[in-house]
Amino acid sequence: MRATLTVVRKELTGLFASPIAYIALTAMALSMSLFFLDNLKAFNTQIMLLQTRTAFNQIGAGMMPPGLNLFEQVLLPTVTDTALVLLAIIPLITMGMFCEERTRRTDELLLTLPLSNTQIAAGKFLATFVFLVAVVAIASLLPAISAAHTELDMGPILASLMGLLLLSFALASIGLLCSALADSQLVAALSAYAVSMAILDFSWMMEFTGDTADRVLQYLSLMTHMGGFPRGIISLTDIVYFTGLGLGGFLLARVSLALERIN
Amino acid sequence: MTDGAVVEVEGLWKDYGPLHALADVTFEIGQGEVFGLLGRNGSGKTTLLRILTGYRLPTAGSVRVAGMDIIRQSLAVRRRIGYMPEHPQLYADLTVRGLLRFVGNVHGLSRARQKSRIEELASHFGLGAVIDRLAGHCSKGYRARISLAAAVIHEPQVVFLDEPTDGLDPEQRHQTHELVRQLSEKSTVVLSSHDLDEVGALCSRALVLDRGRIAKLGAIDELGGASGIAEVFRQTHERDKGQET
Amino acid sequence: MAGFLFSLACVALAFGLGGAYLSKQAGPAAIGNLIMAGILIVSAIVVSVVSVQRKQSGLSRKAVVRALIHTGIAIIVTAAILLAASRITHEWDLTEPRIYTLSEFTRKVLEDLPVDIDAVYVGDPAVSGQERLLIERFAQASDRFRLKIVSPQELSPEAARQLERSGSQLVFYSGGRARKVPAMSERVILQTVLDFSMRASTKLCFLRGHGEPSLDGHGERGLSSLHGLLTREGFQTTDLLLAAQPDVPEDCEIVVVAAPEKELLPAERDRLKSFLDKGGRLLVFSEPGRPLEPAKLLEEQGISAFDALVVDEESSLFGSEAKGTEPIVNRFTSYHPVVQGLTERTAVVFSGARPLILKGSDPKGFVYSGRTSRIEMPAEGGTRGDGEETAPLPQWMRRDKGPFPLGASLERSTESGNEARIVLFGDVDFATNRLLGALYNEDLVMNAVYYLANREDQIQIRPKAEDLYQAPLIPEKTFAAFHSIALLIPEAILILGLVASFRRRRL
Repeated sequence: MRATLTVVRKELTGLFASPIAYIALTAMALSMSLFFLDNLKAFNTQIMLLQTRTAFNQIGAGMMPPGLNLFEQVLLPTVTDTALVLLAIIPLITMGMFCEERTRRTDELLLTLPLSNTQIAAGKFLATFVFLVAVVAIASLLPAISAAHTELDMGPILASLMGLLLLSFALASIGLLCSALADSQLVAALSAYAVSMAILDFSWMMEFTGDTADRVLQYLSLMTHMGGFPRGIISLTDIVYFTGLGLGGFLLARVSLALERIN
Repeated sequence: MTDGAVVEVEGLWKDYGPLHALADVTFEIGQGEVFGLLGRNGSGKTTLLRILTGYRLPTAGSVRVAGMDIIRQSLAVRRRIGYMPEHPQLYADLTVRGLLRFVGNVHGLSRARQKSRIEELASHFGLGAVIDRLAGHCSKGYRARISLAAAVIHEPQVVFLDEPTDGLDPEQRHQTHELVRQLSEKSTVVLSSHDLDEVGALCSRALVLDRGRIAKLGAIDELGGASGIAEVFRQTHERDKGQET
Repeated sequence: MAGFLFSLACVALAFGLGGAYLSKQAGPAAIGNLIMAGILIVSAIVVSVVSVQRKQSGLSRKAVVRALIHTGIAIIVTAAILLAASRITHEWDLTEPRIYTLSEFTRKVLEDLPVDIDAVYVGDPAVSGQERLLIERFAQASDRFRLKIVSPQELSPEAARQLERSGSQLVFYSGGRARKVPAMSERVILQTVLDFSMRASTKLCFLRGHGEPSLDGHGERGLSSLHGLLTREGFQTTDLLLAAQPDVPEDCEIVVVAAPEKELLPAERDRLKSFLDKGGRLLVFSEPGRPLEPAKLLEEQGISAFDALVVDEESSLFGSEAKGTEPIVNRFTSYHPVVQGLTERTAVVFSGARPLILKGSDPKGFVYSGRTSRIEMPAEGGTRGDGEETAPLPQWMRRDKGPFPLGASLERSTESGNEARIVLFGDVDFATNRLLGALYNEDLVMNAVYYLANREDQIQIRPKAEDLYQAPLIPEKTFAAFHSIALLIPEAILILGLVASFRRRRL
């Protein structure tokens, strides 16, 4: 455990030393804040119009037409847009995690230290996850402040953040696996984009497939498992799905380290 | 195999496709020896060291370091060895102190022990001036010394040095030689080099590799000192030239 | 070589998938890219396998085999976890009003569902929207409720047109009947479920002929909403012209007297009395300014209503014609079956209600106006309901502030050994079309019906439409503050990054 934590610390030092880390943090904080604010503002305008229209109709006052609610108007688009931003930045964060060791030839030092492949892979995965927690935490500052100051329901907002965090773990696992397999950072990033996009949403593929395949593809799509969070539902299925993807990425990355020693 | 051998290599092969990087290599290194690995570029010195340190797997053969099998007990072996790679590449984002602390931590040194060892190594290897600078920003000479310090922070039983003086100026080479001599007081040292004088001056025994095979193995005196080894080199060179024409 | 092929495959895959994702369909360019990516990936794998075969032997090959086994294990573990995840249904509803948690009432209905219902939901199978999440909750709550999700593309053009016209996405089939669900809220879906699962019905007979609001009346003062609600929950309703009948018909289990404008004939009163003596059930609504019927019968049991108006200026519906005359009431007796499930947080709203007078210990009040309410006398003194001049306001009612009873019940054993039950409300407007859907009015009315029908065990609070979900209005000033925070956070991070970078440069 101590050895793994040592690797985590080293990787975090490396991550926070790189400009990409700060660019990612800034991009996420800026985009999520602006998406959230824009959507909230549009929603607010709609409520305002509605309230003006129904102010003298006692029964209608305070009630909202179907579909006009915090989830559909604010959280869902914010989470969808932020998910795309995460998809764009996470491969940039993960591309170097394993790959850079090879290109800079620091792997010779790392792989001759008394660290098992599991410890090395776990250290790198954990460090990336810790960094992503920071990314999502900073990006969620504004929604959290807004919710607290405007009596918005905190439940769906917290659920949305949890969804984004789980999604970012899954995307990071894909990125880390690609980094472990690829020869160069460019290939690592490109393949991470390709795989992430492939499993982001399979709906376009369903026109070619049958019923059962549809269900399987739908279940495997990342976005299918993001639907509940912005609506305030945390489902164990979604948590286990994302955990499964994360674990799969980790196990395969570990194997790739073993393969590296064969060369 | 003799008792007291720290490194035992038997029938070692390493293939890269049709190319035999190492072919049927067998030798032993005794406790406390300074052992030289000699050979021209591409003769298989680095491949051999990489296998001995567990960085790469052999294709066939058996390797035991510090009494343990390098494949089955890889972690235990790596706990007992230190390795300074050729052209040492250091983590650019860590300071020298941070790097030494990282290696110490991985080897399980206590915080207090780490601190005392870092101070000791800094003064011993003359790293005081750069100890809080980024390791990647240091000069080549410093990088070699930092890498050496990282290799020995946990006082390993065997230290593997791959071309430790390559690219260093005469003064730095001299300093490195001194460090190797001091190291050999506590550990077995395996040193690869293509500098015959260096091996002649530092090592008690040496192995000359030629295209992955053992060309010569024995005590420096038996090999005829630096001049004897040079003769081996000359012969292999001429043979290669003949084959090319 | 394998790496090069793999890189090319990645480029093709990224552009193929990106194109398909952005356009939400697979065009020729996307398909071409994907086919190319597939070929390149297969080639890359073949090249690497061949090279491993050629390059590795002995120990290395063993290691390769071991790595392949580990890869297999990793893939199997991942697949097993994903498969296990698909079987789990547990979840947490983090919304404040728990809008995805079916109400007790709905769950009870679904648990005891007497028929099989096949629900067909038309929607994009890939989109797990709020509506689908809700309908899935129904399917999870009962084995007899089966859900099928159908993509709009799978429908015949005719079915698609029909669907578009009806605006419905959900159709229920049961026992050869089909019914479209007009809106996707728990309430509406539940009511359609109830349509299919009629229980042994209780018949309510609405007394007519004295200017009572009509069961079919669709205007504000009509009772068509209540009528629909009763029907959906499995009750039968009929009009009752008591003057033309020798007695209350045998099948009338509950007689509803909904604030008649004219007095009843003495014969009608007698028939009601004999109905009650036989263990009948009476639901009486009264209104200020109208006769309380059957007043004598009620008075004998210790209940009457004073012809005055309960006014609560502190807590009443906004925008009423006369201020405070539509009090919002949330004081319920905790142990009474009629108000079971109603609490301080679940208010009802009355309109022009008269206070009840309860004498003795038999009548039990169950809903009271607030402490801030008061009584306002009609301009020309009150009538007690039977047309006679009443005495001035009784002493106990003269106090300045409420609470005043607005609903009461009474149970009485009859000579025949049956139990007669009466529920009296000091208002009828709260049950009319205008107010029945407001707040928890329908629960109060329906609870009274269930109580009178001896079905107290089925008294539950009905699900409320989720569009009541609170949405606070945010002032412009607050938005301005948020905007500055939105820019401040990234700015701070960038500055931090620059400081860190400059510090490192000096190291």
